[in-house]
Amino acid sequence: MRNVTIIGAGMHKCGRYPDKSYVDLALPACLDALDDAGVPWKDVQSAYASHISQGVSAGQAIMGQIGLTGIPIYNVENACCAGSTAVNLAFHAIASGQYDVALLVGFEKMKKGVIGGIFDEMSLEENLGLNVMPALYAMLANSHMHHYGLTQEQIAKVAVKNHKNGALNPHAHIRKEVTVEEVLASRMIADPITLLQCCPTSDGAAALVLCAEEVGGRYTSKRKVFIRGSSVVSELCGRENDVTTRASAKAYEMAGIGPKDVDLAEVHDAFAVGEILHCEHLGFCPEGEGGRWVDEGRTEITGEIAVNPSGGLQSRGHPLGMTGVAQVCEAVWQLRGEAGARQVADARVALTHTQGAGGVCSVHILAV
Amino acid sequence: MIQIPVKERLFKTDAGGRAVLMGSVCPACGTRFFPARGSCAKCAKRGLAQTDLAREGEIVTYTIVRQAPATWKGEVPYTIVWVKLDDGPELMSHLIGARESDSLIGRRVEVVLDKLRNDADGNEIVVHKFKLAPNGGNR
Repeated sequence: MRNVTIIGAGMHKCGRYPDKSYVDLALPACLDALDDAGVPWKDVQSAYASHISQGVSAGQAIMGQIGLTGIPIYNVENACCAGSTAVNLAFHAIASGQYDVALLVGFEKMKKGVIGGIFDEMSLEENLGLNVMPALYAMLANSHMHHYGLTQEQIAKVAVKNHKNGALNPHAHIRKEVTVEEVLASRMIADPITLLQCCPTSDGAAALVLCAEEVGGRYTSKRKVFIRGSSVVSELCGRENDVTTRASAKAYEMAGIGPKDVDLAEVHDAFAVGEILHCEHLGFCPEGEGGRWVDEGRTEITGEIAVNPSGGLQSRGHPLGMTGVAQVCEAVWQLRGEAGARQVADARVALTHTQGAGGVCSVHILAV
Repeated sequence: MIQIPVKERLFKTDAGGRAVLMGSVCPACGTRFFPARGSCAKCAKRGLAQTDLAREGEIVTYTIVRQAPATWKGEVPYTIVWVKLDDGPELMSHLIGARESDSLIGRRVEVVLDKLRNDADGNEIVVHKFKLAPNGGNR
């Protein structure tokens, strides 16, 4: 397998854009990524478009606005892991020699309100009102509080940290800090998850240009960012809660590193408690210690491992198809030293993680 | 007024009138499932046998939903419990009859049938739910 590098990243700021179509969001992100990479459209050999519900042939609609060059275009849906899955597919296609240069874009326009899971209208889950994504994380929170003493304040501190980081991120939807008191006093969605612990519903897009290491020098002299680990997993019977553990184990093994080597991580914090649970399963801290790590500031930008320096899903937002790609964009900017006020010092190894309804998880490891 | 199950073949009542969940068992590896399914999630063997499932289980975790999705037409708030039945299958449904202040994780529950909603003709749509087992249940 050849080395694969990311040579371009571009993003459309997250927010509410009722007058913009998904093309209006995705196209500028693509053009920015191509410009960042110095790659002309004629050299792009394949394209990937990750989204959940933007409609048939969305990728073709976007790429067609750049140029009609007949290349293979793949639309990728994998719940909240769609963007990460697109990265995984593009990575393997280049690593195996199928293509030298690929563009990928993740995007979504989100509806307002409580998001459901995967279940269709006729299903038992829909009938029973189980189709409530915050409820699933709320159940995990209650279990952790019962077994490990995780507290509501510790969970709220994750929301506070990520809003603080998001305020430094020009692409974030929410750029306003919050306090622990405000988070806990906001409307209860599903005990113990309150509104300000939930990511906002946002529109947005993010794009990347990937290439085989050996061709990158034709286009750019920016610092090379390598994809060293890439995994996608689904549920294993009887062990539904360990998708993150398994996905990260595969990625760590591929990259030849362990959790202690990671300088920064963009982790799936659609609900603030998720960040704590995922940090434990990613191996950053021992099981049950995630709350204490937050109390001790060990996941701040200046901490032992910067978790969600971008502000995460909590403040950037979670346009479903965009998130996995946006996380890798942040990793690229951090590893190149281009993250401005959010810059993690001496960033050399980054991890990204998404987890989606239906038992999907994807982890990437990037390094300079 | 007629009672109609929300879906066929999920549950029945036994001779004593108690609710019984209906599921599948794998003849190869013995794993049990709810709801019933065609092939085994663990070993992928096809042709699973029908079986009645345990009537009691333990609450693994729970939440109280206070903001439901637009498609939910019932009352809010409602308590969802994640239950592991005594013979293995895990499932979620509503917990009825408990107070919000009740401590739930680890508690024993039993399966009951209860109204989910009324249909357009006024019939009761019935579904399986859970109640805290009286006196700690049969364990």
